[in-house]
Amino acid sequence: MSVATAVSGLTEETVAPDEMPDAVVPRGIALSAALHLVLGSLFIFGLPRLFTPPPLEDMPVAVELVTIAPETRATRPNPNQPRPNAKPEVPTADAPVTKPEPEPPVPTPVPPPSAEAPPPTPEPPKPPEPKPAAPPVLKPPEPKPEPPKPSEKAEAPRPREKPEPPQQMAKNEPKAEQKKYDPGQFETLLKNLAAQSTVPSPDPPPQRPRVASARPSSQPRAPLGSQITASEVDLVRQQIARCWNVPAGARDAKDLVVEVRVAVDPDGTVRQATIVDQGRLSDPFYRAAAESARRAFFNPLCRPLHLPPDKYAIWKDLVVDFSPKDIL
Amino acid sequence: MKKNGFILAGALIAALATLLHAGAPARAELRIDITRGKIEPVPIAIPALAGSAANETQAGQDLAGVVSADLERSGLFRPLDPRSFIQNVSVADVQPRFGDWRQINAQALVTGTVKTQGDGRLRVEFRLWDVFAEQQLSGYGYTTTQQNWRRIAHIIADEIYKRITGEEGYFDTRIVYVSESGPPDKRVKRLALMDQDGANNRYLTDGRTLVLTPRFSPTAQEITYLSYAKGSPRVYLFNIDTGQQEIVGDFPGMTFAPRFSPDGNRVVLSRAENGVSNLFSLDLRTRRPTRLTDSQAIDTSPSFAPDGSKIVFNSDRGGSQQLYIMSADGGEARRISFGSGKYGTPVWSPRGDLIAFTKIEGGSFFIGVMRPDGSGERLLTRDFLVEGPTWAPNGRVLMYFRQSPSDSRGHGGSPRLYSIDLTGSNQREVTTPMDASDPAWSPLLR
Repeated sequence: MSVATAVSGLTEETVAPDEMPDAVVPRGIALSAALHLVLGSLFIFGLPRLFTPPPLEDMPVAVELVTIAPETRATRPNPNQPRPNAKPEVPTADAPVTKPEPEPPVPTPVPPPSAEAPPPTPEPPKPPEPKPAAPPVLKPPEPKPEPPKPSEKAEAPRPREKPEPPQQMAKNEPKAEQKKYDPGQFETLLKNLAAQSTVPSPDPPPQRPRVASARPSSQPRAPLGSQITASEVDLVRQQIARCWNVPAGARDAKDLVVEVRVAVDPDGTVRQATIVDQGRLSDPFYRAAAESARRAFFNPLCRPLHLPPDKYAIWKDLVVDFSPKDIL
Repeated sequence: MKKNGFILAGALIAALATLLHAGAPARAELRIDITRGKIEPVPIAIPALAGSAANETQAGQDLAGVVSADLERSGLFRPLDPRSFIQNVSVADVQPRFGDWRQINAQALVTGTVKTQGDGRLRVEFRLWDVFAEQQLSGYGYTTTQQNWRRIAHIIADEIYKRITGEEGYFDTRIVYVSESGPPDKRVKRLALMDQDGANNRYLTDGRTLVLTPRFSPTAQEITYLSYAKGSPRVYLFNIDTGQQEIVGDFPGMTFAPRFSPDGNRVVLSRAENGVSNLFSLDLRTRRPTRLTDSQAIDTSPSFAPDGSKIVFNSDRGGSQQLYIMSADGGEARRISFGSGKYGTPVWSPRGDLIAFTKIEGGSFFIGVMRPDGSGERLLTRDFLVEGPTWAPNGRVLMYFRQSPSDSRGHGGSPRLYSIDLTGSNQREVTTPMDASDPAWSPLLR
């Protein structure tokens, strides 16, 4: 109240007495009323918000640092969206859909459907074919200790008794009927995925493969998804780097660039990873580096790789260069 | 004017189209460079090797334990706790259930069997598996006497190390060193020999005479060292198999700091005469010495390059003690160390890329490495006293001895052996029954 009096008093005093005094009074009242209103509303609504800032919420935000490459390509929308009810194609050419086999009696975690053929090595001890499933078929492969292949000639006198020259053990014999790939297993996997989706349909393949596999036929040139952005590449790069255990301390690390050709399934799982330069595998340093690079794709952290699903046509075949030169 | 504009626009569009076409070929593969990764020890599962009889089961456990310890000490592997294992691998010939091993984050898996043969010897077979790629990486079988089982374990560890790092292993090796005991004024020094992990320690000399600076021959059956057996220090050869000792070369005066050439046919050493020391090379077959340096300084601690063409040594010919390199036949020497402080005991790495040394600066001792041209000096460790580096045969690990200062009552201050990785991390004590100094690493025993 005192504030209002002071305001009206001030108004009356400053206004010259002989200049239209009858008009001055209502003006002062209006001004006073407006100020009262402002003050009142300030008291009711304004002040608390003005002077007590809302408490800061200490929420952790997950941030992944990504180096953005200098160039980012924009894409334009895809005019030929695949029809949602388009007939799904067979997931991949090399995975023919067959009837699901009965569940193996021994419960085993589903291994990745990636029984890729090991790269042909020039040496006799070939690694055995990995067998994803079907333990009933798995017979203990008899190791056939071949006639001793001394890796090194025995030298004459020994400080202590030397063990006999090591014999290279026969590898686990790959069975002829052993399939590289168990289509029934993949089928089961797809069934499971389909069961999880809300729409029960007789077409088991999940959405992502369908979109992806529909693309090559319906997308003749430069549609959305024909280009991958630099930041998408960086995301892939980051995932693989996390899965790669660098061979430490190798000599001439700067020359150890390993090129791996990778075939990726629509769900981002690497189906096959092949070391391109097979000729250098006789060099143990290169072989260790190459195998560490290949192992990255089979690291559970990288199964599956998270890739933009609408761009499967681009990343289904990748070439990845591993170079430890900046690390060592 | 307008027409020209149209033409220009048309040309621009055409150029743009060409550019776009060239820039995005329809079927280009996506290429990704990976220049970063994790540098951490490889997680490896080493369950006990399987056996049927009780002694075989015990041997299988012991073998797995030694292999685990070897790999763990290298700093490049992380053996997983056997209690975390899901699958009980009882038969090595069966392909492992990789899913079980992936679940505990094992990247590599070792399986194997132990059998006692009819003649009482042990037959040990092992396989190394890549758990992620579901492949066998390696598989070998060995036969040996029961009491020799530790060597089998070291050989298996070497094979695993080599297969996964690409580098030769160093576990099937031995260390010769000077074992010390007794009070400071009556120190007993004996030559001792042990496995690289400290096991199978034995003494080669009885301690009645002072011995120093033992060095392995590249053939691993002979040691050259310095002994005061005849009053004055002389360089001796010691045959590990026969126990025989002999003086190397009949030089007048004092000889010291011996080291073998890489082919084992020569010994290079220092000989003191008239207050100066010079380097000599001695052909072990003809016993003929060759003078390598002729300076008015102290030239000592010679060490051959692995190809035998050059020798690195330290000399105070320039005023302070520094490192020099010269041809193995002598001649002009080139100084390679230019840092502050004194440099001594240079040792050329078996893989040729580095020279390890002891450096003394500001009252502290350092063990460091530099490239043979003197560049890239790196100090790996520092203490009151660290000295006498020796290389593991693969050139990745150094062993040396370290001594802390003794207190006023003369306690402490005992020298001990340590190993350190080239990265300067992973420093480990090598346990010896008594105090130990002057280690020398053998080549691989195979």
